[in-house]
Amino acid sequence: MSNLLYLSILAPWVLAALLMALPKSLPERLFKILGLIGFGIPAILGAIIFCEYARANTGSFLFLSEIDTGLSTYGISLKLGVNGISAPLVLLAGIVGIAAGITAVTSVAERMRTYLVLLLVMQGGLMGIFVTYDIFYIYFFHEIALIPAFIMIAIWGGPNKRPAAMEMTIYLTLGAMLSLVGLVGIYASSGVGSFDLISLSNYLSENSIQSAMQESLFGLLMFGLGILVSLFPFHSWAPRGYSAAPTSVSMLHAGVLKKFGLYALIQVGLPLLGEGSFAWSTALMWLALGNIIIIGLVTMAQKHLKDMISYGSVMHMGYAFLGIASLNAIGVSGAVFLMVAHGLSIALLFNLSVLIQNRTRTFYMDEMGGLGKDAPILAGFLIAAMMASVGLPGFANFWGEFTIFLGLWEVSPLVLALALLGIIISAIYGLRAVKAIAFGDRTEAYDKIKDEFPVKDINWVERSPGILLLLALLILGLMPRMAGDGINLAVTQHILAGEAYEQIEASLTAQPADILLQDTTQTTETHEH
Amino acid sequence: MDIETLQNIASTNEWLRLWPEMTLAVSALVLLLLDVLIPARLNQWVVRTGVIINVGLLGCLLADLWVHLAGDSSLYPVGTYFGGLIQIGGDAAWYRPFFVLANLMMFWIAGIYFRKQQLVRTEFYAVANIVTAAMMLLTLSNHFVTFFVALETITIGFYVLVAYSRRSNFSLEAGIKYLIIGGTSTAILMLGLALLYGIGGNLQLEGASGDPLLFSNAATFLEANADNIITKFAVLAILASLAFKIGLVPFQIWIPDVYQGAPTPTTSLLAVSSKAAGVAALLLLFKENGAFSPMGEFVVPILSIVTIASLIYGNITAVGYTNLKRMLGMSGVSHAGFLMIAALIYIRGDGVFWISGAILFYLFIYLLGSFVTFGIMSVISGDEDEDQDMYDYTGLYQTRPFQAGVLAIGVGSLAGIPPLSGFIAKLGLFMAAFQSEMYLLLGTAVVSVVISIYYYFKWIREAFHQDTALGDEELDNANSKKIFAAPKWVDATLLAALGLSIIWLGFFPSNLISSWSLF
Repeated sequence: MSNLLYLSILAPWVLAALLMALPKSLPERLFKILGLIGFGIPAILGAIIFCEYARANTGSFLFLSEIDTGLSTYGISLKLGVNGISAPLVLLAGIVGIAAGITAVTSVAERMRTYLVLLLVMQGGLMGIFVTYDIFYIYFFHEIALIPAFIMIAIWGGPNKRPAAMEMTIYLTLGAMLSLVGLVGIYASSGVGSFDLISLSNYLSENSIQSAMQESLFGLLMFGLGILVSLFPFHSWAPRGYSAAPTSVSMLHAGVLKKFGLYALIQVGLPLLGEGSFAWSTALMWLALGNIIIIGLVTMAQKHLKDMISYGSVMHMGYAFLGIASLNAIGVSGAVFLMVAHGLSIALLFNLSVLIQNRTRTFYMDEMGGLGKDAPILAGFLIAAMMASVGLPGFANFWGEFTIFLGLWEVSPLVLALALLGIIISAIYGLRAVKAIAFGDRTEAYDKIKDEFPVKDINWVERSPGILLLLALLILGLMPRMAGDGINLAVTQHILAGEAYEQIEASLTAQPADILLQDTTQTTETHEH
Repeated sequence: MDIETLQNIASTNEWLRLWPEMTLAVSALVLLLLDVLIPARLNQWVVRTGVIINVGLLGCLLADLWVHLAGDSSLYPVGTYFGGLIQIGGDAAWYRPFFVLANLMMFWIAGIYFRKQQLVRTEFYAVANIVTAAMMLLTLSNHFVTFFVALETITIGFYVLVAYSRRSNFSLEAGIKYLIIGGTSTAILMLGLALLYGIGGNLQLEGASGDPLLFSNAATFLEANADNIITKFAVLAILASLAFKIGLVPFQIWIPDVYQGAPTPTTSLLAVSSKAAGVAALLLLFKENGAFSPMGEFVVPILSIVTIASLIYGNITAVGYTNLKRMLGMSGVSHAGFLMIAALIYIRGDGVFWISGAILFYLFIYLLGSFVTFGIMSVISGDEDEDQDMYDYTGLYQTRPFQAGVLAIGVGSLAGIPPLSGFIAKLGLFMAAFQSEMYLLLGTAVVSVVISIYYYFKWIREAFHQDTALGDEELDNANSKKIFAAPKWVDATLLAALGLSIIWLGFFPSNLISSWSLF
């Protein structure tokens, strides 16, 4: 099994190297096929790894293996393995990868070969993030996936690519540097001399880091990773970057790469810095509400389809942060589940946005209308995707948001009530977008375009990414336990298992309700006597 | 030193301990001689001889290093020689091949440069050999006289190299500026040495001796008189002359003008070797039982301020430049700041045992990144050393994807972007800084990395864009017709090799890093 983990990282890179080595004169079709193979292998491996892991019925790290890359002086080596949290994310990276690959080959990008090479490099990095349990390499693979994104925006980006690429690069570097210092800090102050997540958590569960240090380290991680995940108010790079980026890059970045921040916060921050997370959880909660409500309102005001989807993705990150901030098993598991679901649905929306733009020749929603008559299947996909993103039961997003709300109820009903406003907000912009694009009267602008370029419905190649992503959303929505069990086990046994969480658990169990329950049993006992 | 010691030196063949330095110095003379003897049409062979000697020397030094690492002390002559003037052993085993490698790389860039310039060649290579030999000698010095002579030879050599392009006003201007500021720094160094000699020879003071300029005597004296105002001043004056070499704030004023005006090969040597020599000398002074080791507590706060200033000032100034040589110069000031963080940890000596290895690794990666960028710059620049502006690179990717790719790797490594090896180098410094609890310096370093991304990425972005950011249609039109020169196959091979090694060391820094622990 551990060989499959290596293969999932290496396969895209090997094919990228092969594509680079092939002479330019070969037909473009060959490049496209090789590119698709490069995305197909990790997708299949992701599914196999996920299923094998689900069969093991555990939450701990499995399929372990290790390679020494020469950084052992620093306590770093490439250690591979997946746990209940990373297994579904490996699946996510695989599926979104193949969907983005298909989108890329069907696009009209110039220099298709270089485009595919960079995208494959990104895909290898994405798989790497989730199959390693060495903290340094989690970060390292994230950066490997990030760099091609910058270059691709600079070369193939849309309008405003120049400032967008620069803003995104600087912002994300800042976030990455802050979180790197946080990670190095965990290494340095733990004293265990290793970056490996298993030995770190084993060691720190008995000898935790001083609380003052824990607080500053968690703060570094929260803000550093928060920038990477577009936590309010550090989100401004995301909408501009995604709008300027080529679609397949947006799909991979918003769908998978952005989840790195949440993933690292859950896998590294929560178990290793328990006290730190308590100190920051309230602040995180309010910032996350900023994502949900303020960015939610901003999303409602968008007229440009891609901008709206980008802002919507920033908004939904708020729910994931709320789940983490709840610091209980239900909330954190919900956050992980939402990460997977949101990754699938946002990739689907970006994919559909470019299909729509191909037909209406614009991203501005007030120049569309009535697409449902000309392209009913595309409209159907759009409705399904919007519903999934709003969180309609039956799709995976529902379970994620629902469990996060359950987790929040235990912590703060007020925050829950405010967060629920977000559901209304996202329903408003989602339905308004569907109406503006698919239904309603045709606008003059759209009529003009339609006369010039006859509108056809999407063909099977264009449908295939949508079908894959929707299928995954539906399967996870109807059978959430496939991923949920592993997540739940991992969260309860490993993530929230430290001393700090035991104390809070103890204080929760001593709540008046339980005491009342105890009293009644006692009284019944005495009554029987 | 009496006559007996001198006889002793002659009879025991101690000269042989300096064979690498002597090879370089003699080869400089041989080159000049060959230049006279060989007919003009075979002129190319003079330069080639220089290259061959350097390659051979590098090979021997690497073998030497290997013997040293194997730990066979009978083969590797560790100890002091020449009546205490020279000490062989320690990090010098690494710095010697480092300087020869940098010299060779500089030869390569000079080769590209002289193809486009009508200048006499041989002297340039000869002087560069002397400078390199002096740098190697500096890392071996065990006495302030050797220290001074070596440092002065470097500086004087650079006076020639900076002003080498005699027809270029820029080069002459740079020469004058370097001469004046270099002279000032020499004067300050001299003042420091004179003060140290004067007060260290005062037998009324505890620890004084007849030869206070010998490193071990200086250490004994400073140990006993660490609070004396004159010794403090002397130490600071000597360090100031090193700060000039390394390019630390406030001794960085010469950098932008001199980097811009000097011929590109000289700039590359200034950027890499001169900086490395300064750092190596600093570490030499502060090593265990080194001359200044008792003054650690006194200099750490002062050097910390200098470090923070260099990081911030270097990066913020670099943001404003579009001339690439000026920009690289100021980014070099911030790199010096990074090296100083490590040097501070070394000076404080609190238990990060691999720190001198981390400095070496940083320098080596800096060498690779710098020479890749300077190589691309000299391939692209026109006949008169022009095309040094960032916007001259617009559209490079469209005509020459290979060069754009290699440029992105080199610049990315300088910026410290993973997975390139520049990141691993910076990671080592961050980890060391965290372990020695230097949080303020760490924070400054993080901020300066983020600032540096702005100008480094701007350059990469220009190379990959078709139109300039200036919105200047005329310039855009001119650029769209611009044809970038293709590199010769030798240059292309070297560029590819450097680029690949930057990537390779990013993923597998194993061999280099595992040998650190031996120090």
